[in-house]
Amino acid sequence: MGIRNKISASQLFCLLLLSRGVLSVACGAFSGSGDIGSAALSAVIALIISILLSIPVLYLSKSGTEPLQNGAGRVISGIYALYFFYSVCITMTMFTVLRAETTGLRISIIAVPLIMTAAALYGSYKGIEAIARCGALILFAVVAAFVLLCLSLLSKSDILNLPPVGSYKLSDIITNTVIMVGEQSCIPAIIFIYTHVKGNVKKSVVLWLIVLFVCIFALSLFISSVLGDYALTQFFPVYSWARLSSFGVLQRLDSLFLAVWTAGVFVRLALLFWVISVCVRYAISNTVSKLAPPVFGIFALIIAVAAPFNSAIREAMLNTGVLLFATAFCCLILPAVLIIKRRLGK
Amino acid sequence: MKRILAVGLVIIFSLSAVGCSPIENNLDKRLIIQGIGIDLEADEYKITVMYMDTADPVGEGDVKSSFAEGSGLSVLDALTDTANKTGREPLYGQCAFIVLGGGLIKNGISEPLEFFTDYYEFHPNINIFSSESSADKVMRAENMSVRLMQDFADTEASTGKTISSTLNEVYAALSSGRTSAVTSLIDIKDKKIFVNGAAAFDGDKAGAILSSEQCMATLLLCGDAKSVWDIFQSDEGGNINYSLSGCKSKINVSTSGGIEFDIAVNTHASAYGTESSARLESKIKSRIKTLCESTIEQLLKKKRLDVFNLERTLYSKDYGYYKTLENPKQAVVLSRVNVITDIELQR
Amino acid sequence: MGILDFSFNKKQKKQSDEQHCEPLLYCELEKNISYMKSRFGGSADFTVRRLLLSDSTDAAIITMEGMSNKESIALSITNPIMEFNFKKHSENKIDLIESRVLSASEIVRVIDFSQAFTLVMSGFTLFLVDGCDIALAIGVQGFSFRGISESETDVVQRGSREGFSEPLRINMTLVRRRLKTPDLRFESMQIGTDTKTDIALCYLDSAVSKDILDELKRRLKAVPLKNILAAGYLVPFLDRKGDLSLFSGVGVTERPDTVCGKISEGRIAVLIDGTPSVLIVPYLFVENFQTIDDYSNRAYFASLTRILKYIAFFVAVFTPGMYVAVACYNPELFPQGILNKVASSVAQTPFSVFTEILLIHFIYEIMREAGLRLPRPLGHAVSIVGALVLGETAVSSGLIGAPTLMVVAITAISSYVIPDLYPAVAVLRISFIVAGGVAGLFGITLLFCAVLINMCAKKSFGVPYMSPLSPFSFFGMRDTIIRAGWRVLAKRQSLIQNQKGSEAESEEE
Repeated sequence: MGIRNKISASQLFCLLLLSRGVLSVACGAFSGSGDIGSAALSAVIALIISILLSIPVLYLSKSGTEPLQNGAGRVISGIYALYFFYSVCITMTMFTVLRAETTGLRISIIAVPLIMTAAALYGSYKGIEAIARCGALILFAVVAAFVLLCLSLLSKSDILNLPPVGSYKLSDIITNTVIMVGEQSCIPAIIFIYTHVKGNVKKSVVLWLIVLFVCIFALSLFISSVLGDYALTQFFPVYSWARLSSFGVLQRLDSLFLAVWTAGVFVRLALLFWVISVCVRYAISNTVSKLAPPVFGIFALIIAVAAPFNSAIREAMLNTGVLLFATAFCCLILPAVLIIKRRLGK
Repeated sequence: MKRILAVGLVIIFSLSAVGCSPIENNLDKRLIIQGIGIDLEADEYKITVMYMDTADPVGEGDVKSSFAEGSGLSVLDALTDTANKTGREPLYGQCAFIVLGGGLIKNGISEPLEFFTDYYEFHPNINIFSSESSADKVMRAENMSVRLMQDFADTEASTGKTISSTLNEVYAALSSGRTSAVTSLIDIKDKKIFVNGAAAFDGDKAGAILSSEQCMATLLLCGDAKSVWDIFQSDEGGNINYSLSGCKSKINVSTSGGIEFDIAVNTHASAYGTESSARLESKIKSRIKTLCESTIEQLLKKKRLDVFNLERTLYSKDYGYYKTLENPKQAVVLSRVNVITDIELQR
Repeated sequence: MGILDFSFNKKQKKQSDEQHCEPLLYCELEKNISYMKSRFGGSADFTVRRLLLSDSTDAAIITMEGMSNKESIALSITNPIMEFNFKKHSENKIDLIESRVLSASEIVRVIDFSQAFTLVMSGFTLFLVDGCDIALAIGVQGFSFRGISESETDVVQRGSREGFSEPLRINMTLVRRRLKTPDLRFESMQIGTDTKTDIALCYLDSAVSKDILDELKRRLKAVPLKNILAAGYLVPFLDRKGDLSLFSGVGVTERPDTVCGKISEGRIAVLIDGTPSVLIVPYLFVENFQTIDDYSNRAYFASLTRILKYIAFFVAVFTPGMYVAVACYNPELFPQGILNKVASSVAQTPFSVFTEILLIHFIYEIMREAGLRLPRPLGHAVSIVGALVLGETAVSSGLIGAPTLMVVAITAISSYVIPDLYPAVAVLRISFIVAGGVAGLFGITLLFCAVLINMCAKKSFGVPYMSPLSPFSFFGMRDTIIRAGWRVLAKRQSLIQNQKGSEAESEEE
């Protein structure tokens, strides 16, 4: 029986761009990792690595999801579910920390993550088609907000603020690259979305990676040219950059932009919860897959709410080394195991 | 199943409905801060806060403001003391300016600015002003208002007689160390405040006071001058009144045989005088060149303050050479600086 | 539905099944008449006119008082029958009367009482002859009905002034007159076990999707209601089961020109007897912002009004919530002057911004509802009270702040730009106020996301509700936010089932 709810390749592109892009933008891929200008170079390196990581994933996805639903494949599906749960925790933690540090705690610390989790679970329940359509509309709003931001801050950019290439520290470049590659949880997600897409998925994925890293490249240079050395003191430099925007009498629009980015985080979480339900369906059963997202969501919520107050949880969630290892494992090792299994099965 | 989920969501939502507490979030229960003045006296920070007075009925014209004071060993302590005295929770999101008093600018401004940079409620585009008098006097001047302070900040763009800076610009200059921070200077006379040049900082302490002409020259050299007007006496007697617009500057650096900076200033001028265009143009060109060169001499050579982005230019354009310098600041001070002016007169 | 609901429906179904089991007509005239009298229980409007044919056979004409045209009965039925010489003919009387005697244009053969009752109560006159178990129902309807007048809900500046009326046949002619093509079809159905309401599915055979048509028929046949007294009764049954959306995938209009435009695009109109409202399926979100005036005006002006409508919609939904969120959590977004006014008004009123806004909204909704139900002469009193109480006295007494009142006023005016969406807008507005009060701009954003994903998940008969915005169709955008000129629109007609992402499209692939 064919899958009825299909999304187009362009919808997939929008979904992936928004889901991954908002993480870099809202929560900052270059959080506290030195000179933001070096993130531009890191973006180039991360692009190449990401394309390499996507090759085994696309190769595996072509053959369908049967390898994931039988025998060892079910265990692997379970591992993928845990990986995506880890991604959810990281996203929610970063968002909660961003909110706590930029808007304070006037709004109850539990209210926003709770509403976010509930909304994202509802979105995941609606299915990939609804998430993709919603994502396309929200991407339009995010892009429009960005264009407005860039236009308002163009006059504040100063080429002298750009650090020379020779001043980039290798450690900063490596750190930024590790963060950018580690956050590529959308690549393994393609395995589970592939069968729901009609059109050229490979082209869509490659285009997504190129556009994503070109945007990160350009954004990091632009932010650097506006903030200069001020960016070094900021944990969320993109947010600090947005705080400088103004349109005539309308100033201090950062909270509006943050609200728009929140919509992007919603799409990401909805997508991840949906992928978790698919993984659990392959691993266990259809009935359990309906319960899995709310259960995982509650745990993620607890972690996200505790993170601003507990440095151990915060460090565990924001540990870039573990994140990179997990992503590489899910993009390279697990697909390789499945491909070998399939070949041996033939 | 759907109903249970929906009911559950409603309950969760209701339980988390704590944010709309009517007392905490009411605007009238908050101290809406419009400006802050900071002084440092005997190692204690004294804060004078100007806040929006919402107790009076809504009227025409400007916002009515009131003042509150506080002191403490740190800026945070002083602000907390101020809030405690008023009994209201402060709202810093509307703070439009900070005045650094005479005592503070002499002793160092990095600590208070670091606090304002780190605290999330303060926006990075708050205008920073300095004063040789105490900040409290400035804040309590008869003509003090938010609009006036905004006008002072806009003076840079309209007349070029001062150099205004925002929090992020000043803090970036302080943290990078490659350029001297500059802020607008507020003076007070007969209990009324006015803008009178700028203050340049050596590190985080006040290094020099720039006059209006020096401000103008600095803006021209940095390429930041939007609209400048000036008046000077001609050799033949009489005054020449001119304004400049569309100012651009380009700094070229060469490092062969020592550091040499060539600053080319290109601008359009409009002038009022009885002389011919060619003579006027030549006089204005000469005037600007003289001003620029004397400003460089005063600030860079004598006071060792690089407000012209020379070190930044060297860092940006020839990083390889910059890396080899033991003391880049010293090297820039000792460098040769040539000013080339190109004026296009429109009458 | 709960267990109790299920039991109740089972009992109702049994009762209605029993009611529907009417016997066939008897050969004896008296038996037929007495059965019908007993079923009508001596109702005052049940009329029997007995006749004696020329060959001494008994006959009877049965009508409902006021439903048939007496003059037509006399001219078309009574006179011809009385004058006809039955003695010379030996054929079956019913066949003879149907083919050679009666001069009416519409004659239906009736074999059972169920059909007989339906037709008689629809204004037909029943003619029975002793010795025949077939009756003739003659279409001589003459009941009073409201004439064709302009619709009061679908008001336009330049379009036709004709609106649908209550009788189904009249409405059918209004459509037929505008679409003079043999492709135009009307398919009749009857729904409602008690009311037996006649409905007609109206579509263009060359444009309609057979899948959508079949699905519509299936959903209509599954309607379990006894009474269909308004178009709104059917709407929940035409939406997909379990669809918990504030927006409906079924459109309603009272204009024949709108119906013709919609069915030309492959949609199906459901005309319902007894109501001037016509249902249109499938129906998309963007259609709420389209009116027939858009196509009468020049493209640039039509585009401007469309954009204004979209802006008005967002203003109506978001403004109060944003105001509460910004005032409570992000006052730095206000420019200084506005903040002063807002803070001063909050200082002088006893309620918080959140409470004030909710209070004013509720008062406004009460006044709006009162204004709808009041007789016209009293309407002025309501507006005076509203203006004085809300506008003047409440503000000057310090109960309510002027900025808050201004926000509510702007919201109210904006919500009337798209009257079709008013129910959804009203509920969403309150929801966003609560969300803004609870969690500020984050709450508003997340609620918006939840509503948006609900709308994106919704389908109207297999067509994505948010088409052509998402899934995005460049071709579809020519008549969405802007209205392209007629030269562009005329190049290629779009059919609803060919929208991107529709199930019909995906199945074709």
